[in-house]
Amino acid sequence: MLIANNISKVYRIYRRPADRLKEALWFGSRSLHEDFWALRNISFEVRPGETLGIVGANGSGKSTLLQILCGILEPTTGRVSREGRVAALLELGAGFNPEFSGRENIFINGEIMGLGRAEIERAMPSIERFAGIGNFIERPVKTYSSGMYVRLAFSTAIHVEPEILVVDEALAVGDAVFANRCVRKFKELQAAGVTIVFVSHDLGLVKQICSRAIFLEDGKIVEQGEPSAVMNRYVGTVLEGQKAFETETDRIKAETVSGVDGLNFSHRHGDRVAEVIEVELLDAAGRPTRAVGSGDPLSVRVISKFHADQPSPMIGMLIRTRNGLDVFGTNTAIEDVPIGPCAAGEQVTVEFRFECWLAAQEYTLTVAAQYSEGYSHDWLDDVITFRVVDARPLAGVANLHPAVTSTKSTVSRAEP
Amino acid sequence: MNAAVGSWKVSPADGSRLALSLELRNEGRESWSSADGYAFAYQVFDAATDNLIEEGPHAGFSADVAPKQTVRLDLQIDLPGETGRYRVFVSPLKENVAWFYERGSQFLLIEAEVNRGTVASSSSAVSTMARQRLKRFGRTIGRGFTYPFRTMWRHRSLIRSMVRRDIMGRYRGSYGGLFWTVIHPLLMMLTYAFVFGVVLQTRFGPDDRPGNFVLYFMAGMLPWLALSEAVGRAPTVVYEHSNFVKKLLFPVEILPVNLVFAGLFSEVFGVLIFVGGLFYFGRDLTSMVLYLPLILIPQFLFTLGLSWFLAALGVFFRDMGQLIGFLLTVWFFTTPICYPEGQLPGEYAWLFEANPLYVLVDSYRSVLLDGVAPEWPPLLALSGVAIVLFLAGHAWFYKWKKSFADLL
Repeated sequence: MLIANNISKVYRIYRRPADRLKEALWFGSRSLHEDFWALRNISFEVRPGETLGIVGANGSGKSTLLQILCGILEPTTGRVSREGRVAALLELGAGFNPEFSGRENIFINGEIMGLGRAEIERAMPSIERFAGIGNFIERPVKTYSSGMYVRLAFSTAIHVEPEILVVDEALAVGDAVFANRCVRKFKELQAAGVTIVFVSHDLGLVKQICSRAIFLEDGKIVEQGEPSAVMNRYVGTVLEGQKAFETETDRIKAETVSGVDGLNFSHRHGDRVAEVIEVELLDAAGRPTRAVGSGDPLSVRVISKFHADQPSPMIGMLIRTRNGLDVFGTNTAIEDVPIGPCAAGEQVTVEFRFECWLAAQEYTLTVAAQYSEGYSHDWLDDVITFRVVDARPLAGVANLHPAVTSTKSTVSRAEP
Repeated sequence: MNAAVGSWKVSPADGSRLALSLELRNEGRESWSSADGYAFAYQVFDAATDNLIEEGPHAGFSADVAPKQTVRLDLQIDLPGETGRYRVFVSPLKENVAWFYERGSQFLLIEAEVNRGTVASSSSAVSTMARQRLKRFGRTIGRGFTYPFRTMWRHRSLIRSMVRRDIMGRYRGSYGGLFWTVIHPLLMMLTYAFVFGVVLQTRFGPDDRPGNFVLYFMAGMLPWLALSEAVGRAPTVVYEHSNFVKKLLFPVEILPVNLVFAGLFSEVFGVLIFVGGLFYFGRDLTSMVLYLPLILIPQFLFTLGLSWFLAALGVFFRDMGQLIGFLLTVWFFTTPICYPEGQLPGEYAWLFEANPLYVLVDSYRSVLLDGVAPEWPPLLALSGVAIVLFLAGHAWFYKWKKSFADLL
């Protein structure tokens, strides 16, 4: 059980470390610092067996929050109640001494975490097995690869039988096999009633193992609740930031085709007889979105304006991966929903509605207004960047959402 | 902004809620009017850390309260549901200006204990900020006396293994290994013995037996070995363990303790070398050596207090790490270790009379060489100083400990 009640943290920013002492000697009659609010009014509760995921951009206060939760830092206001032994994995192998062997470091680390030597002795075989680094356990830790380092540290931490486990970005370094083993171990710990708080940039992982999530921005909780909802909000914010950054870069780069109507694109071509004036990605409720669950309904809305009469134009869309692979493209002609002749000054709205059965990764959307022969009126590459999220680590680009069945039968082989 | 608390009544309501009925008298010059931003409310503090947890809603006065007028207020206090002890301040305030209690006014203090969502007990009293500060100070002093011992007792097994790790790790990867723990002090003592005993012909007293200088010198070196090792490493020890401070749940206050024990460990080797030398020169230990543990107590407390002090200071002033080597050299040569105190001209006598280290040096020589009991008055004085330094050093370290993570 871990409860944060109205946690705030102010860092006093001093220009010199000595100013801090000086200020204390003045007994507060002179102020030599500036206040920086790293966290503001954070409250939540994590019950035994629950796992709380914390996401947020760099500098949003995640690490400070974790440090306060474990008791490494004191909050400025508020109170943290912890019931049970806390194991903190803020930096893997933080207490390791590179000159000592893995086994010796397990002892030291275990003791720092509050175990007796006998307890560590008992847990040793299990720690070794989980770490799976073989004979390296007898070699000095300085000879380890970073992956082995992580394995050993993580293995030690989860074997101290914590009631509360606080993990910061821990699994990022391990290989896939180990990551998988960790996920399983997390599930085991959850079943055993361990309270887990978990920070990760791997959103799939957060969705996979967390029962609740918090999105921190500038030290405040922006969104809290169901992991998928929180992740969507987070991804949306991140992509917005990215977009803003890209727009900025683009503008600086070449004052590109004068970013006309607020559309962002990596490239634009066409005769502009018809002009795309608005592109939007909408979720099932018709709200603009930049994050969509794999298989969730999604619609692409393209609004274009015609400056001259056209007999049979068409509107198309194309989804690409970030590294440029065409994933899916279609247009009104292929779909056999012609928009018909368009007159000058007419505005056409086309919506492509589909279930987004893509695998979890980032995609871009390209749209175009074209002549029936395929020449472009207005073609905009990568107008929108969006992310598909999914809890399951599917391979590839498509999500074919298979129905899986299995049968078993016994084959008797002694038929004469 | 002044209020007097009249009669009041606190009664537990459902769950972690308290119902309060309270009489307040306006002792100020201004009348309390909601329009001017006057209101009353409560703040809940964590009793363990004095941290503000939450603030109740600000309630305005239903009618203006003129000076010298009394008003009866009813309010509900919502305590956090989590098990723990809380302190509630109930006081008027002026919005965007201050709480009355911050300006020295009386306020109602409620101390409550919550156990899993219900108020287990509560007591209330009229208090002022000055009284609270005094109490807090008292608590700090109380902690100052108990915490140093608690620290060492609670973490004894961790200290043991950290010291072991320090000693084993020190020469890890070198060919000499643990052997260096013996060789290092031995070589150092031989060098000094050569310079002072052979080159400068320093003599201790009229006794001209062979090895006399070497033995006197070594006896004096023993406490120095332990002290200089701990004190010399103290200013950088926290910095060197910044990972422990920032990334681990680790009792940082034991780091200086580890140094002191590691220093004592080196001293043990020094003692062995010394005893070897003693027998080599045909002398014997007397039963007075049994006083040695008695000398070690103030030595330990003194060294540890100083190490705690310097360890915290070193976080703020990185220069301490550089400075300390120089200071130690000065200290070493102003203490009559490698020369007899008689050689110091009279006007410099204070150098060793007021020197806590010299008390140790002299006591070591008494019990190890001269076969007499240590001189008690200076040793007792040193013990007094050592205990004060020990308590104050820990209090100092403890006070700054919270800032370490922000600084490293």
